[in-house]
Amino acid sequence: MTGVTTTDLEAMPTPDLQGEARRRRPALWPGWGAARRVPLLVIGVAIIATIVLMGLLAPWITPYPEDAGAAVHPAKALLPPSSLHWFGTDIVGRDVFTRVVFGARVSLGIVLLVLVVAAVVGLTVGLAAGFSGGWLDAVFMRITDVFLAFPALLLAVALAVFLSPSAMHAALIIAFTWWPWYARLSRGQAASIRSQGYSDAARVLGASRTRQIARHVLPNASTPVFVQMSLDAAGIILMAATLSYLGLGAQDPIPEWGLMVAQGQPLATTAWWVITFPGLAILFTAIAFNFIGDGLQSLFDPKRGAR
Amino acid sequence: MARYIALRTLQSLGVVVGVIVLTFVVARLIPGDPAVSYAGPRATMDQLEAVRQQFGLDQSMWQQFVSYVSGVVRGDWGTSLHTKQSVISDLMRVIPPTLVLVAIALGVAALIGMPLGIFAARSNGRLGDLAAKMIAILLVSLPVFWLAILLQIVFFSKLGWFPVAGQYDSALNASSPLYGVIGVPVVDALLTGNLPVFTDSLRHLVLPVIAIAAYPAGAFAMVTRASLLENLGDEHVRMIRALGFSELSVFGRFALKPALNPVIALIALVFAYSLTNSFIVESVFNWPGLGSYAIKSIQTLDIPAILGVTLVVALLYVGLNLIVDLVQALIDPRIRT
Repeated sequence: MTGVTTTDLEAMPTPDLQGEARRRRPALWPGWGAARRVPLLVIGVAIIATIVLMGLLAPWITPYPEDAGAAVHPAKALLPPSSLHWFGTDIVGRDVFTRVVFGARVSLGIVLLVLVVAAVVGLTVGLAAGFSGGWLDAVFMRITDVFLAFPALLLAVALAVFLSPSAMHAALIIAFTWWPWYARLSRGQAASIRSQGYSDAARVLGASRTRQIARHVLPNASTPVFVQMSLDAAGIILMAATLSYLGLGAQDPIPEWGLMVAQGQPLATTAWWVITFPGLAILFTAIAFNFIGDGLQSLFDPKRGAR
Repeated sequence: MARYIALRTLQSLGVVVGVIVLTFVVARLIPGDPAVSYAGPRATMDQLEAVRQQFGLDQSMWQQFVSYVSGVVRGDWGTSLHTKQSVISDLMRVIPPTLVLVAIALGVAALIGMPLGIFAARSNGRLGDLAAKMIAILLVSLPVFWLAILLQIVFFSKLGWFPVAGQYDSALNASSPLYGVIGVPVVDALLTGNLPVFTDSLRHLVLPVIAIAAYPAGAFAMVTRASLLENLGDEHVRMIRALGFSELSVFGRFALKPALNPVIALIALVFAYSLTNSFIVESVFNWPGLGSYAIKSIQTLDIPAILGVTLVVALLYVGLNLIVDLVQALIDPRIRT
C-alpha cells in the first residue's frame, strides 16, 4: 500500500452511502441558485413539462379525441380556425388541435426511444473502447468513423427506404445513426478517467473490472453524455419530423407533426392552418429542448456558457 | 506538417473504404430479390436469369463485393432505374447546382451568424446577449421543410415578391441566350456576362438560400459566441487588455483570430447538414440538383441512384472534413501532433 497516497485514498469510494450521496449531489443537481442563473433552462423545462402533460392528458383535454385516429368527417373538411376548431380542420375534417396535442405523444415517444437506445449503445461501446484501450478501442473507433462519415439524415433516409415506414422504425433508424456520437464522447471520458489517480487506486486495490466501470467510470463519464442528450433532443425532434415529412416515418392516421405538414402541403396556399400549427408544435418543442441543452451546458461547462 | 498531412489523408482513405463497405452491406440488406425488382413482376424465369447474369447476382457474395468495389473505383455506379442513365453521369449533372446553392447559403449564414455571435459575446450576460441567443436558438430549431413551405406561401403565393420554381426563367433565353459553362445558370450567366439571366437567377436563389441558411446561421452564431468568450477569458487576452490596448484591437486582433478555429471546424458539419437539408428545400423549390434527384430516387425506390447519392455525399463530406482539418492544422500548430 506504500504507493497509494492519502489523496488517492480520499478519492476512493467510501462505504458511507449517505455521505457519498450528499457529496455527489452537486454534480447532478447544482441547486436552485444555479437554476436562477440560467433562466432559459427553467423556461425550457417548463415548456417540455407542459407538452408532456398535454400529451399524457390528450384524451381528456382535446375536444374531439376520436380525430386522433382514422376518423373522417367530409362535411367538416378544411374549416378555418374557429371557436369550435381552434386550429381548424384538415382535408378529411379532423380537428387539427386534437391531432397536434396527440402528436406530442408520438414525437416525445420517438425522442425518448432514440435517446435511450443511442445512449445505452453509445455508452457501452464507448466505455468498452476507452476502458480497455488497445485493438478493441481501435476497431470500435474506426467503426464510428465510418458511421460519422455519413450526414445523419442521409444515412437515416438511405436506411428508411429499405424498411417498411413506421414511427418505430424511424426511431430505431435515428438511434442507429446517433449512437456513434455518444460512443465518441464517452470513450474520451473513459480514457481520461482511466488515467486518474482514483482509478489506479481502485485497480491496485483489486476492484473487478465491472466494479471499476460501474463505480468510477460510468458515474464520471455520464454527465457530459446527459448534457449532450439534452442538446440532441431538438435535433432528434427535427429529424423524426423530417423523416415523417418524406413519408419514411409515421403513417396516416397517426397524428405525427411532420406527417401532418406533408399532408397539408398541397393545399397550403388556401388552408394555411393545416401546416402552420403542426409546424409551430415542432418549432416550440425544438426551441424548448435547445433551451434545456443550452442551460445545462452553461451549468456544467461554465467556460462555454454565460458568465 | 507533411507527416500530419500523410497520416490524416491515410485515415480519410480508410474511412472511404468503410463507407464503400457499408453501402454494399446496406444494398444487400434490401428485402426481396433485386433481379425481380429490376426485371419487373411479369418477367419469365429466363429473363430473371439473364438479369442475374447481367448484374452478377449469380456469383458469390465475395465476388459480388469485389466487382462492386472495382465498379465504384472505375466510376461504374450502375444505372438509375428512373432516368435509365448511368448514375455517375446523373450525379455529375445534378451536383454542381446543389454545391452552388449550399455554398451561397453557407456564405450568407456566416455573414449573418458570425456578427451575431460576436455581438452576443460583446454584450455577454446582458440583454443583447440573451436576444442574440434567442435568435440563434430560433434559427436552429426551425424545421426546414416547414420553413420552405411557409416561405413559398408568404413570399410567392401571397406577396409575389420572389419566384419559386427552378433556377431562372427560361423565357429569357429568347432575348439573352444562356451559354453553359459549368451547368449552373447563376454562375454561367456571371461568367458570360449575361446580366438579365444573372439577376433573374439571383431572384430564384433568395428563398431556397434563406431556407437552407437558417440552421447554419444559428449554429455559426452559437459557436462564434462560445469560442470568443472562451478566448476572452484567456491569459493572453487579459494581458493585452492590461497593457492598455484598445477594446477594438483586443477583440479584433487577439480574441477573434484564435476563436475562429472552432468556427472553421463547424463548416464541415453544417455543410453536411445543409446538403441533406437541400434535399427537402430543392424538392419544395423545384431546384434541379442532387436533392431533387435524391427525393425522386427515394420515391421511385431507385436503389442504384439512392446508393450513388449516399456514396457521393459521404465522399464529399469525408473530403471536406479532410480539408477542414488540414486548414486548421495550418492555422493552429498545436493540432499537428
